[in-house]
Parts: sequence; structure tokens; C-alpha cells
Amino acid sequence: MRLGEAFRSAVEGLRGSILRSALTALGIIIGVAAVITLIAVGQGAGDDITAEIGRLGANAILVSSRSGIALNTDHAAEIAERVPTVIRTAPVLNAGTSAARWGAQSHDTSVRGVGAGYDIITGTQLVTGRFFGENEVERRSRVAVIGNDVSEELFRGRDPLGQSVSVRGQAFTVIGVLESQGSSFGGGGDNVILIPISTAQRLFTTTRVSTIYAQAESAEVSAMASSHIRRIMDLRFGREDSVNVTSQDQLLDIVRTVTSTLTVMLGAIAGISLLVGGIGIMNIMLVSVKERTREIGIRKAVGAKKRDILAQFLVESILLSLGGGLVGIGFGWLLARFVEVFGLTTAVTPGSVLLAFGFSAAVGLFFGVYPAAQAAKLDPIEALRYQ
Amino acid sequence: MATEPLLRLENIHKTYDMGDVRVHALRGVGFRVEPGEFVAIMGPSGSGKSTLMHIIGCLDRPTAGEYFLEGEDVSQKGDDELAELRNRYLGFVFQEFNLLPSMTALENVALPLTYRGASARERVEIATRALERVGLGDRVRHKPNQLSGGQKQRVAIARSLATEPAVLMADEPTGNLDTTAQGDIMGILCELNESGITIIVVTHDPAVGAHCKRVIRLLDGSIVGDESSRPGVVSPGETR
Ligand SMILES: Nc1ncnc2c1ncn2[C@@H]1O[C@H](COP(=O)(O)OP(=O)(O)OP(=O)(O)O)[C@@H](O)[C@H]1O
Ligand SMILES: [Mg+2]
Repeated sequence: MRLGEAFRSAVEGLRGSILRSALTALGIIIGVAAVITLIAVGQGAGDDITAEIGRLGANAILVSSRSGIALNTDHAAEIAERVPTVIRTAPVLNAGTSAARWGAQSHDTSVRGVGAGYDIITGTQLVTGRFFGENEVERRSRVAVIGNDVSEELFRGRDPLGQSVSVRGQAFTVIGVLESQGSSFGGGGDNVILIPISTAQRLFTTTRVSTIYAQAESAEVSAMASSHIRRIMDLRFGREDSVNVTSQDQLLDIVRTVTSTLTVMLGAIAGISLLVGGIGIMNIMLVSVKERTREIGIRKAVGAKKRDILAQFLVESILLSLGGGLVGIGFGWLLARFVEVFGLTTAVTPGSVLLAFGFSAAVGLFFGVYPAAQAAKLDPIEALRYQ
Repeated sequence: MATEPLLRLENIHKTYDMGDVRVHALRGVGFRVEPGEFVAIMGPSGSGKSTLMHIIGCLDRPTAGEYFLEGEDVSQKGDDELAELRNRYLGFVFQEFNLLPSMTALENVALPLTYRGASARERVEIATRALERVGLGDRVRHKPNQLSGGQKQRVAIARSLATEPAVLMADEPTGNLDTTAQGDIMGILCELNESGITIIVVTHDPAVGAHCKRVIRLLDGSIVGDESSRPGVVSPGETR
């Protein structure tokens, strides 16, 4: 009953100056909308990268050299041979960006030389055609599997299979097209042309490989396989820490850490604006208490206790911030939708909504306490005499 | 053992410390009020009338002395206890009406009831009855700015009645009103007193004082006179 009166009088107080209440709430609305949107962007980026790594295949292990170490295809073979928990390996050479040409069309794309089995290790799917096999790698065949972007840019709807694409003056027969990986990272996963590692090494006149992809028997043994690989490579190169060995698990962990840090940072930056909104609430509540000094005196004269007055003004500030919070959540969601138009993935999670809601309530409570306490401790006679 | 009166003030002092000067607003005031009395507190401006009324009304505490309300010593109670006492025993009528402008007459009258946890239905019922009692049964939905001064003061009286107080206190209730409205208000107060409500009116207007059965005169914070104009009223200090 007493809380009912606090609620009623709080609503009355807010309605008494609609514009002022709305402007005060705007501070919270902007803050909450910023929190929701930025967390959504952070989460979206995280989800994207995670999904990308998830596509690697559950048991993938990446071996890359440290400075002064040159990995080659023999090392890939050695790992496959000597590590029992590793089923297969595929060397990868990232050969940078080159122009791929077909007829009059030309498109800049990243060229990767990969070993047979790369598709299995990475869980790569094709929309059409097939991946190259052991033979083609051994024979340095000039075949290519092209990414979705390359297919579209060069062939524009025509069937690319069997067509001849030229890279660095060499003609490659297209035997497959990769499934689109979505638009994350600016679509890096789609703008690629895969050729046999042996062909690539000759084309770019190198014996090195950038990375060796390995596939562990199962996720359970992947840690064991990783340390085994590390030991063998250290032995081979005669030094400690010759290579970086990263399992998909670890990669996911790293990415999760990075993106959650990113998300927290974005959220914190947005939280600052929420804090500023809270200060706005405190400011307006102090004004409101001052203006309604006489009302407080009257209420006290007829029997309102400190807690009644405290509750009235606290409810008012919490209503302000919660109302602002709700509208802000709506706006944040719309804003996240809007951001997606620009090709960013966003994810408005229940967690971030709850966080924003709880945080705005807390802001209202925190910044409402001081003005409400000021009101509650007013002396009734002085309050009645005010003005 | 003497029966406790409704109000008993013993040697009440009130000083205001203003840094360099100390204002001695009340200097040892003592008197009793029995149930059903109609008391006027009179005196020139600055004599301490309002100060005394605030203490009687539990809005303020005396600097020294004792004050018993229905036998309970209230002179040193805490803020919330005083709030409770005001709600339970006291009704106030102020010179400046002191109604909440955003509320209707009915809501204003019901306000004290919300602080004793009355249900919505109870509040409407009691407040309506109180408004009818002061002749404003047809003005329940009006806001204060839609009412005349006399009507506002009647709403204020209805508000003070809603809690069925032991004492109704009025500080210059007719100070802001013209002669007609003044007569109305005093008429209502007299009627209420006849129905058994104890009333204390603070005034410096002899016309108002003339309505009251007993007049306590203040000068410079001390009582300089205490007369009962009608027989049958228990005089101060006398016990039953
Ligand atoms: N809060 C206060 N601080 C300091 N002095 C005060 C305060 N309240 C009252 N006084 C002083 O106490 C004295 C009595 O004041 P009080 O208001 O009781 O007079 P009053 O009899 O009601 O006068 P009036 O008829 O003008 O209303 C005055 O001298 C006044 O200046
Ligand atoms: Mg006065």
C-alpha cells in the first residue's frame, strides 16, 4: 500500500514534467542502445570467427614455423608418418595475391598451394566439382579449385568447371568450386584459388611451406598429438620451440578470449555513456527534490516517514532509468539491425539485453539514492516554509 | 494519581541557534488541554505561536521541557516516530492550505490515509465522507486550482479529519481568506468541536479568538494569559 503510493506519486512526478523526464531518459536510452549495439557487434564478430574456425574441422592442428625455421613438404610427411595419433597432414603455401584471368576477365585473388587431404582436414565443402587428390599433387597437375568470389567475378554465372584460368602465365583447369563461407573478414574465405602444393612451389620457385595442417585421430588426442608434433619438429630442427603448434581447440580459445575482451571493452565504452546518463538522472532528481520541497513537507506533516519519501524518489529515478533502458534496448536492437546492412554480423544476445536492463536499473538506483536521501531527511517545518 | 490530560506541556523551551544570535522563541511554556476543548493561542507576531504549534503538532521538538500526548512523552522521539504520531493523533490546517496541486480534492484528503496503509476502497470512502462533512461532497474531482480559497481550506480541514485525529491544529486558518470565507471556516471548526473534536487554533485575530472557549495568550515566548470564556470547561492545572 505504501509502496503503491510511492509508485503513484513517482509517476505523477514524472508526468508533471514530461519533456524533462524524456530528455533525462534519453541519456539512458542512448547509453543502453550503445551497450546493446556494441556488444552485438562484438559478439557478432566473435561468432563469425568462431564459426570460421569451427569449419576447420574439429581435430585440425596447425603447425607453423618460427623465425629461422623453414618448413617443407617432407616435414608434413614426417609428421604424418611418425605421429600415430595424426591421421593425415597437408602442407599449405600462402603465395600472396595474384591476378587470375579468364578470357578478358581478371580478378585479384589469394593463391594457396595445398596438399591432398586439405579438404578433409579443414572440412572444406564444394558446391560443384571435386578436390584434387594425391596423384595430381604428385604430378604437379595444373588444376585449381576456386572460391565463390573468384567463380562469380570471372565466370559471372557460367559453369567454371573445365575452364582454363591463368595465374602468373600458367593455365589451370578448374575442377571444383568452394562453398561460400559467408561475408566475414571481408569475405577472405571466398576470394581464394587453391592449387596443388607442388604446382604452387614450382610456380613461386620455393621449397618452403607456410603451414602444415594435421588432423588428429580425435579431439581427445589432439593435445597429445600437438605435443608429439612439437617434439618431433624440435628434434628435427635441433632447437626448442622451433614451431608453433595450435589445435583448433586452442585457436577457438584464443579467439574466444580475444573477442570476449573486445566485447567487454566495447560494452565498457558504451557503459560510460550509461554512466553519464545516470549522472543526468541524479542531476534532474536533485532539481526535482528542490522543486518539490513543499510537497515533501506536506507529505511529512500528514505522516510520511523517511522511507516513504525515500521510496517515492527512488521509484521515480528507477522508473526513469528502467523506462529509458527498455526504450534503449529497442533502439539498440534496431541499430544492430541497421549495422548489419553494412555487412557486419551482429548478435543481440539475451545476456546483453539482461545486462543492459539490469545495469540501467542499477544506474537509476545508484544515482537516485543520494537525491532521495536528501528528500527523506528534509525537516518538515523547513520544507513547509520553503519558497 | 491524576488522570492524564490529552496534552500536557511542562516548561517547554525552544531556542534557535543562529550562530552568533540565539533566539529564545519559547521560554518555559506549560499548560494542559483536555479532550473536547477549543483553544485559541493568541499573541503578537513573533511571540512564538507557530513555534508552539509545531511542537504540539509533533513537527518539531522542544529544546527543553516535556510534552505528553495522551500520556506518552513525545518530546525526545525520533523523526519517524513523530511522523507516526502526526499520522495517528494530529490533523493540520495551515494558513497557506498546503494542498498538493497535482492531486484532486479527494486524493489530497486521502493522502494521510495512504501513510497508514489503508486500502484504496477505504481511502475513497473515508475521504468522500470527510469532504461531505465540510460541505464539499460535490467537489471531489476538483484540483486545488479549481477551488476558491475558502474551499481549499475546507479541503485542508477534510484532510486533517480523514485520520480522525485526537487534536486538530490550525495555524492562522483564516489568514488568507476574506471575511465571508473566514466565517465559513470558523463555523465548520465550531461544528467539529461541538461533535467532540479537540481543536487548537493559532491566530492573532480577535474575531477568530472570540469563537474559542479558551484563549492562551503568548508574549515573547511566555504565557501571559489563559482564560476560559465559558463555564463547564476544565481550567488548566485542575485535575479531574
Ligand atoms: N527556524 C527558525 N530559525 C530561527 N528563528 C526562528 C525560526 N522559527 C522561528 N524563529 C523565531 O522564533 C520567534 C517566534 O516565531 P513564531 O513563528 O513562532 O512566531 P509567531 O507567533 O507564529 O508569529 P506570526 O504571528 O508572525 O506567525 C520569532 O522571533 C522567529 O524569528
Ligand atoms: Mg506564525
